[in-house]
Amino acid sequence: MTPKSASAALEHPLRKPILALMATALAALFLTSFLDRAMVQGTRTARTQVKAKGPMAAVPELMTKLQQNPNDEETILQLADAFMRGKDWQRAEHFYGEALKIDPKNVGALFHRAIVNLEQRHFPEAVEDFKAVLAIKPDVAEAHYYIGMVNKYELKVPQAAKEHLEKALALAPKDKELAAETKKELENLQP
Amino acid sequence: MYLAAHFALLLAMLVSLLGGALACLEAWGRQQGKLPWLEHGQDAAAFLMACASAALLGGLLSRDFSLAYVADYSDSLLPLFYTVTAFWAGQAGSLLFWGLTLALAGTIFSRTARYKALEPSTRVLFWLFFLTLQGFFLVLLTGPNNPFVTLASPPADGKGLNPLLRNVGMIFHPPLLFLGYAGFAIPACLALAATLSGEGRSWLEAARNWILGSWVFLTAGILLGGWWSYMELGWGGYWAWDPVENASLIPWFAATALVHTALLERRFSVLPRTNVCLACLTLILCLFATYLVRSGVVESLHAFGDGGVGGPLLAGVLFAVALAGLVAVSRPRREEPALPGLGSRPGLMVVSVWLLLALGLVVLLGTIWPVLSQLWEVSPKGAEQGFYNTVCLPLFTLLTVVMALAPWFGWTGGPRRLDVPTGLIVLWLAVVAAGASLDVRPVLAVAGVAAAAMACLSVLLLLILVPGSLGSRRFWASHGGHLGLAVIVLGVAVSGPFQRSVEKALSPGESFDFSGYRFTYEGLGATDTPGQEITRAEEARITVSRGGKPVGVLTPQRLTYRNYDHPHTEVSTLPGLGDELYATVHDLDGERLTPLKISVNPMVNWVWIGSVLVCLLPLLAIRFKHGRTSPKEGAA
Repeated sequence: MTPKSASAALEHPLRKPILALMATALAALFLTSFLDRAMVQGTRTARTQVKAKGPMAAVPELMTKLQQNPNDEETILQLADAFMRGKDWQRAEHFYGEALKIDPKNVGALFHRAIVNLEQRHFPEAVEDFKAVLAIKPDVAEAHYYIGMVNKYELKVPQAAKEHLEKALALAPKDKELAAETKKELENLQP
Repeated sequence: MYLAAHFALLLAMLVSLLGGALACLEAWGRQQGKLPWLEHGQDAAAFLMACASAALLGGLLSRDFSLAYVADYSDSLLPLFYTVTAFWAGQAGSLLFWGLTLALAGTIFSRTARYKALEPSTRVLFWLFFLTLQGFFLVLLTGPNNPFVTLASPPADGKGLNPLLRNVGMIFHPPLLFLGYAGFAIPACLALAATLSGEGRSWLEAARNWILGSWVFLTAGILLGGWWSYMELGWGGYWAWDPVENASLIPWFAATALVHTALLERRFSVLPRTNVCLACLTLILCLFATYLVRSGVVESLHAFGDGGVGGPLLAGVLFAVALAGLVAVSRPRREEPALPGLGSRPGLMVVSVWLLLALGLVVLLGTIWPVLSQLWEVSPKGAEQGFYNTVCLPLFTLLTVVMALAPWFGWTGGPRRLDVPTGLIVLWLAVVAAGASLDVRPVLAVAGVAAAAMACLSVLLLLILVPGSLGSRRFWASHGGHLGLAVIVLGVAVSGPFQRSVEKALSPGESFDFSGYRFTYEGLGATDTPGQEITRAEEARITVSRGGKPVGVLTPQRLTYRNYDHPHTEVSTLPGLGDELYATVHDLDGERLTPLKISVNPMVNWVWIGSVLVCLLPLLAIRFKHGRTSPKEGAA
């Protein structure tokens, strides 16, 4: 038997269906690319356009408003909130930062920027923001809770984690869910 | 320029997809006349992707912040070295790097003698699979993950590179992983093509160097990632079983299994279907790792979050699973020699392959557990380190024992000599029993240390007892690589369970004793350099002594980067082959350290010594001369 006929004898029984499957995949890739491009405006992706219909629908109007009055803290905070709801963490962080330049003691902006930092996994920055919140308003149990959690799971500093979780527990007896969660985290905290 | 770069990617996508369609047509009609077109098409696509990559690199080097990617990952003061490496710091750039290495791999492979020795029908089918995969990447790069998004109002300066990424380990960890991932596309596409064309095992000859080389790159990438984690994250360890760390480890298990089963098929023509499955599985798991990192499905310090590519990547993975299953399962059966029994070297290699696959499955399940458990839990949680350590470490220990014993068994059956394997097993059992009786805990760590020592001794005895092994490249490639792995196991088994850590709040002049060492905080030095990349550097000076004799000075730092308001912790170590002292400062209250964390990591540097061995020695098996492996080769 020649090598060619040997190959023919060992031919894959599903050769044609597999080739048809690959042809379908290629067509699907081509169509996906074409459809994606049809939805793109300029160099922005279709994804950004879809987002604009959701939580960030108000962004263009707010940006116009901000251009007219660049120091409008309320507009800056609305923009930051919109970007946060749209999960555009980097822009949300930027606008909370801008709001904090105007009012460095805005607890809400600090707290939200801390959450945005957590979402971006900027853990030391998140901790600093939560600490800034506590410096202004020492009874924010959630800030202690988040600092404790970051120290426990990300920064691996159990001593600091214990300290903050205990403070959160001490401050949150009325918030049953937070208290229960904090208690649980303290129980399984490795010394 | 960026519009032209985007257009180059679009053109490369069109060339790849049309090339794939042409290959499909040729294969359907059993023609090979258009094969040169396919090869030239691949060259063109690779050239276009290289041009697009050069444009991105040019944007980074010229600090052109009108390009969103440049503005997001660099700034005007970033050193040149880190500016270049910002290419793969973000999601879009790293995907472009993945795609570029894939394209270059295809182009390089098409110029090798091993490729040219393949039957034309196999080559046509190879391009069908390869160009489709490349086209898939280019669809992502020209759509949801476009690196050439320009900003209508460019910022005056960029955001800069995350300080965590400014480390040699992190700089080379991603590109090495991508080189490994992309390299495994060649064996997978070859396996599918050769199975479909009926060419048989010659694909393994063509893929041999690619399997080995890609395995080395993947291994180096994983180990450098561990080193980066140890030196940069400051928590004192190197492997936290983080989902993204695991994502690259899962294909490594399949790839390591493939390295061994491919060897068995090349020598004994056994396990052909297994090799097709493992080649495809490795690439699929590489794609799955890409999905895990870029889809936002897992919470991780290292993940990019969902950038719109998660859905397409998952669809690609599922399609690849269906395709590979269809090709491998319905592969026509041939007359194949039987696999030698369990009491032979091939038998023990198959045992180790099963152990590797079991490890891969455990890590895979643990990693995707939060996603799976969403189906029945309100707040799903990932598997904890304890789970992985409990399940994986016994399997790793067993794997090391098998690795130590296998070389003492013959290729066709039975032990080559009884005294050495018996002695090794007795030694292992004796060390475990001694450890248990001396109440050394955990026993598993003792078993791990004993297995590692047994594997090192096994290689040493082979070197002494097998004539010609000292000068044999094949010996050093295989057994040297195993020696490296055993050294890693030794380092892990000691440094993990026997690490000691303490946290102390200290003021200047205060001292404390820990683990036989005396640590004295001499003071804090601070340097302000406004306008520079690092605006403030604070360095604590900790002198270390043991028994009154000075050991060294630890200088953990806190660096404040220009674009990052909050200080970044820099680790300081006093390296040693025994204990390594490791210090970090988590916070400062004036000059008071709140707290200083000290870890004493015994034998941790053996992990990195083993890593160097395991990454470099297998490269000796790379063959530049074209030819089939003789069944008699490499009896050592």
